[in-house]
Amino acid sequence: MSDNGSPNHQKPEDAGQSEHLNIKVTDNNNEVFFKIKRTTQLKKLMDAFCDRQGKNIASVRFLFDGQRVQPTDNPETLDMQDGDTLEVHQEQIGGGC
Amino acid sequence: MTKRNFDDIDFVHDGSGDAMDIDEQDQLSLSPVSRLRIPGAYPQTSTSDAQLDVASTPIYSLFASVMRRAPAIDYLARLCHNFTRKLYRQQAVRAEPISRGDGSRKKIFLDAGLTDFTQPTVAATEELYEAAPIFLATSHNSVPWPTSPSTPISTRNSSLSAVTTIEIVNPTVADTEGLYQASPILLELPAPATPINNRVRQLRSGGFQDAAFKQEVLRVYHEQIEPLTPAQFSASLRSSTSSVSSFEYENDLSELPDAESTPLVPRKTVTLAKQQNVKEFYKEDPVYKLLDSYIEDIMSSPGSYYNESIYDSPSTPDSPLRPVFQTSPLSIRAPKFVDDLPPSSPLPRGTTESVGFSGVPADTWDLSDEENSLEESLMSQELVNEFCTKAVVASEESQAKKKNTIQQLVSPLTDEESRELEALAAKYKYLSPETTVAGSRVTVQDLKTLLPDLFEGSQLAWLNDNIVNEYLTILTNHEKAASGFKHKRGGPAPPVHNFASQWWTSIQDDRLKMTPVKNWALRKQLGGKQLLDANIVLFPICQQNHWRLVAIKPKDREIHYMDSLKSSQHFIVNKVFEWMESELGPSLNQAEWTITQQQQSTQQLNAKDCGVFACLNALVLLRGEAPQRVVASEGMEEARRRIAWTLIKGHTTTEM
Repeated sequence: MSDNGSPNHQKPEDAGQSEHLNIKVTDNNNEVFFKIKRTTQLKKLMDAFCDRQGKNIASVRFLFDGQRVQPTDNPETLDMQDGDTLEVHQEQIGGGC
Repeated sequence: MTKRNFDDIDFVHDGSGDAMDIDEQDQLSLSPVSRLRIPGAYPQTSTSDAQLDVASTPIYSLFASVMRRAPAIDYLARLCHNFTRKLYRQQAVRAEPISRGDGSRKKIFLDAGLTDFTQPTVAATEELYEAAPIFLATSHNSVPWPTSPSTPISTRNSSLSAVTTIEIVNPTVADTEGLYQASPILLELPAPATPINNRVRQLRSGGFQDAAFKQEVLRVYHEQIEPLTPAQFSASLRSSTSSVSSFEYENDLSELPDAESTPLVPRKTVTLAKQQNVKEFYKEDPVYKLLDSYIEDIMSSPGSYYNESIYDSPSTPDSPLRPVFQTSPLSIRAPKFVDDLPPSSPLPRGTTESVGFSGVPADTWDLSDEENSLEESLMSQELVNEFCTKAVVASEESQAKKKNTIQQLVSPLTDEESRELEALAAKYKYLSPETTVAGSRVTVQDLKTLLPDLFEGSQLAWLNDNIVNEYLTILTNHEKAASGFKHKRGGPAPPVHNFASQWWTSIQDDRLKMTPVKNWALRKQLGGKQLLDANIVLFPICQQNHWRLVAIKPKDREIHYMDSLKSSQHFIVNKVFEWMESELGPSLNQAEWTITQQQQSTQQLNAKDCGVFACLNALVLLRGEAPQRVVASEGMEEARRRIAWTLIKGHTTTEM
């Protein structure tokens, strides 16, 4: 979490922060690289990845260093650096068998 | 014709002519045949062989003499036979064929008993029938005995009849359900402690010492056994697998502030989900106390009974008992209320004497008015009691309220909350599954797994990772906030933390070691030795569709493995150690860590609630309470609703 408390819904056209990041998204089989702005909502990235891999977004989880990524998060709120990795996990269910 | 028949054999050696004839002919060294033809020896009408008197031949007489002794010889032979039989009894290995589901057959060794194969007796079959209920008693089935004990069966078969009867189990079930289910039960049959034949023999000879066993065998033997319906059969299967102990709720109140000093004998009660809030009126605690206090009043003198620390202590001016004391017309320790006593001579405490009655202090006697004084004093005594018990009731009620909230781990939703939740469910259940519900961090799909009835999800009702992770996050966040903790880079370690359930799946690849999670702890100020500063770190783990919880208490150097199904913990605990080693390096001293071996978690009653138990076990640990507080119920509906409500609200609701 960033300490300056930047709002989640920051518009991409926000001036000074238009720096781009390279982010790797991997689900252990595939690796997809994305280049996004620091302030872009990660929903875009997640949707793109799911479209590309043919996954249902409701059944995958994006994690960054053990922290679940919400669609409304952006790289800045997650304190991401250039070259960081997002892990993609399948939904787990359990009840006991 | 003077032909002899067999009946005359007895006369052969009577010294009459025949024997003489043989001697004479022997002297003549004639063959017996030629001798037959000697005229005059026998009055014969014909010499043809067909008409020979066979009985008169020496061979025949020899044969006849042997035959005459036949019973004796036969007897001797039998005696010999019986004797050898007694010496050499056949050793038989008893085995029981087991049919497996795939049709293969296998034999299971039962015992090596002495069986009597040579002589089929009724006793032998009875023995078997007496032995067989032992099998049945240990099996989970009650299957009718196929044939009555009086049915004659050959000995060789009788040794196998126990086997055939147990096999009968299969057709009964297989016929009605079309399944071959009985084989696992057969495998569960424990081998008898002593060879059955010996036990039965002991039983029959009356020398059996274990009367209880004898009774049990007789009871089972005489019991009317009815065939199980398929439903009952599967029910019995299920009940045999689920632990009965999970029904028992230990009413452990030892951590309450007003706990009794003597250890409570744990009361075992069955609590049903719908009734756990209902109290029988006569079991209300205040009534207990009321009765106790009343009896105690009668038994003891009021002077010694009323506790001065309550009544006279100025430190409790707002105690509910205070006004009672002031308004009570009679108090032995406040002589100002008693008009008869001079104020200059207050009666010292503890010197009250009983007059006539125990329980009535001497100073309540008014000698000036003897007729009414006793009555008055008794009445006033009652008044005091009444006031006091009222006060006790009042204080007990407040106590009872406190107890109630502690006893229930999660309180059920209030009516209003339930209505709101149902309204939300109606609003969201048909929306697309990835929609987040009411601005929370859980989606419609997540809630479908938690509340399948409300959100029209799969009846499997298996919790998904989002529910477990988010719920634990809410709990730990509450705990962090309560201790004023905030995650700050380079800051101190959090008191509590929960890792996402993906932690477990990430460390599964042994080639990668712990690299996928190497930043996880670091991000949360738990990396390296900082890990040891935390109180509790939770790891929800979903392995093979089963949720469980590993909690490490780094400060206490403890590892708790909470599993509502009692699976093996070694694999998981070893992995946790591996991870800790990767974090702590060589400073990890495994010897100082204790792993709870006994499964502490309450056991689930079905095959769908383990996620709920993982959540509740986390709650129990964070609250520092006994794991027995988690009460199992079918479906855990109340807990599910409470979890859902907390998840939607995004903060704890009554949990902490």
